[in-house]
Order: sequence, then structure tokens, then C-alpha cells
Amino acid sequence: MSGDLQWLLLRKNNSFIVKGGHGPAFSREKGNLLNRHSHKYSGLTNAQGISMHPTKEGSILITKIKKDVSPHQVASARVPVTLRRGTTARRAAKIAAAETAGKGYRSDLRQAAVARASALVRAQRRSANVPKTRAPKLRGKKARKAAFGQKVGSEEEDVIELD
Amino acid sequence: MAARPTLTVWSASGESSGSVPLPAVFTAPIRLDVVQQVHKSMAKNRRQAYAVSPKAGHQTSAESWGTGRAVARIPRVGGGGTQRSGQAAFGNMCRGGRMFAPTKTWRKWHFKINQGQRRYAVASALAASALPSLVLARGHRIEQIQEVPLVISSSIESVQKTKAAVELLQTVGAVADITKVSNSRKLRAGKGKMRNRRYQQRRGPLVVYGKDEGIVRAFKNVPGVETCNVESLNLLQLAPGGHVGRFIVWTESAIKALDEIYEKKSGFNLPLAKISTSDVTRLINSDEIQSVLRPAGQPVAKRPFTQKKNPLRNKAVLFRLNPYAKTLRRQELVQQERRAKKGGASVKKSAPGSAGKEFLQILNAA
Repeated sequence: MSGDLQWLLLRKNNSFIVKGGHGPAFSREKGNLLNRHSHKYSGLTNAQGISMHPTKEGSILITKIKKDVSPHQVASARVPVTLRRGTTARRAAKIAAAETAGKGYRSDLRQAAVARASALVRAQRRSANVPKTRAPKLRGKKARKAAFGQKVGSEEEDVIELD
Repeated sequence: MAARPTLTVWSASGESSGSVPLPAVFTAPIRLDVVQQVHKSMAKNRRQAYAVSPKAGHQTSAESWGTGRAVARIPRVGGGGTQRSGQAAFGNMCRGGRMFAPTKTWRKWHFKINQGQRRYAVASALAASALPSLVLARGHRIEQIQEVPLVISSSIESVQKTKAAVELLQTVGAVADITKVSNSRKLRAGKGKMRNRRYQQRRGPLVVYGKDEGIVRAFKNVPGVETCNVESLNLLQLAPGGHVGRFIVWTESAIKALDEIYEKKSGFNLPLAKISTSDVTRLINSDEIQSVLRPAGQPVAKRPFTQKKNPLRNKAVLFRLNPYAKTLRRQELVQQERRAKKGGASVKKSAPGSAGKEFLQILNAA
């Protein structure tokens, strides 16, 4: 059965669709580079497609559907490529472009693939140097205690408040 | 005709151990409308009758007071000495009255479904279960599965222990779906809790077997897993909720029996798709269509200029629209020039608004 017909079958309702009121519908299946609910970007109804996801180790896992496989194959139809943690943005973009547009695969997905790769690399960099945690700002009694040491009399408190 | 596609048969240890031809029913057209309608009717056939008590609201001897007592003519409870006396009764708007159109046990609870439609729906649901995208779209976790439909050798029909059954699901990669079911278990909202429907959970894989030699009992206590004999496939299991694409695990003997089962059904031919190729790109690029198309012409721009110009203000656009306007304009300019040359110096006009010197003197004299 063709991808076009499959798309018609699951366009109206499927377990991945996210309709948030106004605006476009999104989709959370793997293999959807823009996470947008549309035939072009769908990770379900295209015979050729590419999925990009971060792994727990901080690498990026790119999974591609092999060409010329039986439509019934699932796991065996997919080939993974892993981009190690610390892959530079330029290299990631190059690989993303080669995996989509190279060898006549899905050149229409090149831009989306490069954009996603770039976003994932950026997210990794951010998670590599997490902003320093600051001690929570103290208020009230605790703040006074911290500022004036341990002996805080009631008179002193009044004076502070008048200031 | 191309060779018939085959399905791999996986052994209980997860290796491929042969193949079976794809049964014809898996190529049936997938008609969501048929499946949904048949499912809706089938789901209704399990209902039990309910109704309010036929006497409810009518166990009083109320009579209308008629007109003249400055109250509504609704029947009123007679007598005295109690709060109830004089209160309105019977009507659906009354406290203690019957409901509007009281429910009856002789409502039409069950629905007949045409056998042809029933079979069509089952064939559709089976065909949908053979497409990975539709199974994924139903929410099954089949990413680790090698192939859909998943066929396992018939030796699993004699599995006796649940432990062995779970191990089997693990080796073929179906355990993710069981985990999903297990995590989804929630306390049911409402009264169903006290009516033996305490928990709600998702549906897991459906195991279809040819002959039960222990497989039913082995899988009975695995969360979400249902078992079914291939002879009695049920739409309520194949498309729960009317949503096609149930994840089905077949035994080899079950999938081999499918073709024969459909041949045996008298008066039923497997439905065929209306068109053989539904791939739109391929259709457009086919020789048959390309040969009758005109070659593409120049692209027609709707707006040749970037912005619409107002011909009343923009002279160039005006002249393009109305060439005579150019002549008119030129004549007008020539006339203006001539007029200016002729009387420009002779008539001297004072600036309007400033009064004459004499006038001001007279005005200010008094």
C-alpha cells in the first residue's frame, strides 16, 4: 500500500498527533524532522525518511530507512548512524545533508535535517556547561541571621526595619 | 504478476526459520468507515437492558385541581396533614415526579450487522495490522520487531508457562508493548470500580493461534495480551475502539490457515482495491499520464509588478491604461503656458487677506 494512502488513513487521527487548539497540528513520532503533522515530514508514511534524536550519552542518533526493503520490515529496515558527543556543528550539518540529499535519498528534507542537527548540537553544548546554581536568596529572619551573625536582638531588628 | 511477498517465520529463540507466503487477506482495502461502523454495532451487541422503574413517579393518587384556585393545573397530591399534600406530582418538572420519557427495557439494544460487512471489516482490520505505520499509529510499540505481521513458529502453541511466554515476547522484541500496557494501568474513574472493572489499561499484542496446546493459559496473565483462535477472529479485538492496526503475533499454523479460511466462507470474495496503484507520485510520473500532458509553459505571475499602482496618481500607469490621457495632459500644459505668457504681467493682484491702505485709514479714523 502506498504512502499516500497510508497518510490518508492516519491523517485524521493517530497516537502521535498533537493538536493544541489554534495553529498547526504537531506530531511526536520518531522520524519527523520538524515534528509537524504533515505527509512530507511524517515519520510513518514515507518509505524513505530519517530520524534524529539525542541519546542519553549525549550523542545524536540518526536512523535512516533503507531503500528497497519490504513494506513489512520494521527494525531490520532501519540503519543507525551515531554522531558522538562533541561532534561539531559543521560536521553534524554536513552529515545531515549527506544523509538526506546524498545518493538521491530525500533531498527535500535536507534543510529540515540540517536545522535539526544544528539544534541538537546547540542543545548539547548548552547541557555541557550548565549554568552555575546559585544559593537561594534568603528572606526575612534567615536573611538577618545570615547578615548579622547569630546574636540578633529584638531592638536591633527594629532599627533595621526603620532604616 | 510479481512474486507473492513472503513473511519470515521466527523461531522461539528469535532466529528466522523459514517463510510463509503473505495471505491474500492482508492485501484487502482498508476501509476505516466500514470498520468503524461495524465496530460500533458490534460493541452495542454486548449491552444489557436498563431502565428506570416503570412505577417511578406514579405511585401517588394525585389529581388536578382544575382552574380557579390560582395554581397551575398540574395534578396535585390530595389530602392534608403532611408536607406532600397539595404538591404537584407526575410531571417531569415536578419534585418527585417521573422523568421525561422514562427509559424502557424494550429499547433497541442490539443491532444486526450484514455478514458481508462484518467480513469486510475483519479483512480490513487484518490488512491494517500488516502495515507498520498503522500499527505504530495505533500506539503499539513495535520499533524492536523485525517484521509486521510477526509470525512465530507453531511450537509456541504448546508453551505452558507464563514465564516462558514472556521470555518469548522478549526475544521477538514485543516486550516494549507489554511494558507500555503495564505502565498505563490506572484506577478507573467512576462507578465501574465497584463493578469488576477496577483498572484501565492499554491493549497489548493479540496472539492468534491455530491450535491451543497451552498457549492461551500461558499468555493469560501477561498484561494487555489477548489470545484468539484464527477461526474466530473478532473485530472488537482486531480493531479496539474502531481503530485499525492492532499489533498481532501469529503462529505459523494460524497464518497458514488464513487463506483456506477465507476460501471456505461461502458467498464471500475478498474485497479488492478499486485502484491497483495508489502511489500518487508514481501515477503522475507514469508514461500514460506524462504522454498526454502538454509541456509546461512559462510560469504565469499573478502580479507582474511588486505593488499595485494607482493610475489616478501615477501618470505612467495612467498613460499605459489610457493613451489619450497623455494628449489631454499635454494640451492642458500648453494652454497653461500660453495663458501665463499672455496676461501674466498685466493683472496685478494684491495678496488676498490684506486690506487696502485707504480702507484701513477710514476704518481706524473713528
